[in-house]
Amino acid sequence: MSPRVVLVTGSRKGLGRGICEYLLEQGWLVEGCSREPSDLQHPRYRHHCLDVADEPKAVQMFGDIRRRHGSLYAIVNNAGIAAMNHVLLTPIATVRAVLETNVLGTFLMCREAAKLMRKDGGRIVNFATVATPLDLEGEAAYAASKAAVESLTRVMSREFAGMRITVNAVGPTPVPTDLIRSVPAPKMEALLKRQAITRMGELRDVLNVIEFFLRDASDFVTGQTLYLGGVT
Amino acid sequence: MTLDDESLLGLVHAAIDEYNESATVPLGKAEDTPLYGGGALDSLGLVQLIIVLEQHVLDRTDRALALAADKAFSPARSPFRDVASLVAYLRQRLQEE
Repeated sequence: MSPRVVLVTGSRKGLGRGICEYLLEQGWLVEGCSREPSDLQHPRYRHHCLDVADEPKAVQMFGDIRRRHGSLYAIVNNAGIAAMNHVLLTPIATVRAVLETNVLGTFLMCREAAKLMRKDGGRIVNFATVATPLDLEGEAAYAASKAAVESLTRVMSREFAGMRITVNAVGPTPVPTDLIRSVPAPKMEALLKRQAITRMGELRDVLNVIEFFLRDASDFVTGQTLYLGGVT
Repeated sequence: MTLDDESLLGLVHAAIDEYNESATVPLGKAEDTPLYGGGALDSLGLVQLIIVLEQHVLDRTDRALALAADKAFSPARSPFRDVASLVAYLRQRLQEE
């Protein structure tokens, strides 16, 4: 069987980079995208430079994937930005940027990916966060944007079920990446104490859930958000 | 890029051919064959045909048209009601953008 094609958004660094490297190790053909170029070199990796909320460029990228591969089996919607601040100190431009990338970007990527999956089925994995169920203070825009991603995940799971496309989300705890570098240590400790398992997340925790959602045997699992660390 | 009516009809036929590859009820290609609203297309089928047609338009013209206007799902006014109305709609949309 020829290798399957997966698209990982936000693939230049952090979790996205780790996800790409893992999937390449597993034999996938990996397409990645981010605003900036990537230095990831691999014969089965192709990088696209774009903002995930830029509709014309997104359509162009998926057209390129379709022309080179014919179809797409999976997408991991990792691209996301966070804004951590008190509501009273958050400019609306920041809220808009968070919603653009996290909500509009996820919507657009799912829509275009599903068009390439409609014949043979596929897997969509979105990124949620424990900040949503924990109602974390200081993360209003981020938590709300990811609540929208959870809603999109549920609705799309129903709309795409007839095309044998599953849509699920992983909800990581804080993982040491750029996304959380500005969070003060006391705040991070308080956050971890609200988890059932009180440690930071690691790449392997996220990979485990992604791999579960991507499995052939997971074709009866859809519309789910799986939080890590025992957060419910 | 401007396409004449014959080319537009060719795009619609190509989209119908691709749609029919996985359709349980194949669509006819005569100009007056009903498609949506009295034809063989249900709303999910219409979504599929729109997606396929958008891809053919992109491949042929390098233009990403969004063909799913609100009226697409109105059985009476849908530009997808038959092949002829679809060709006319495609011509109009390509001239607009």
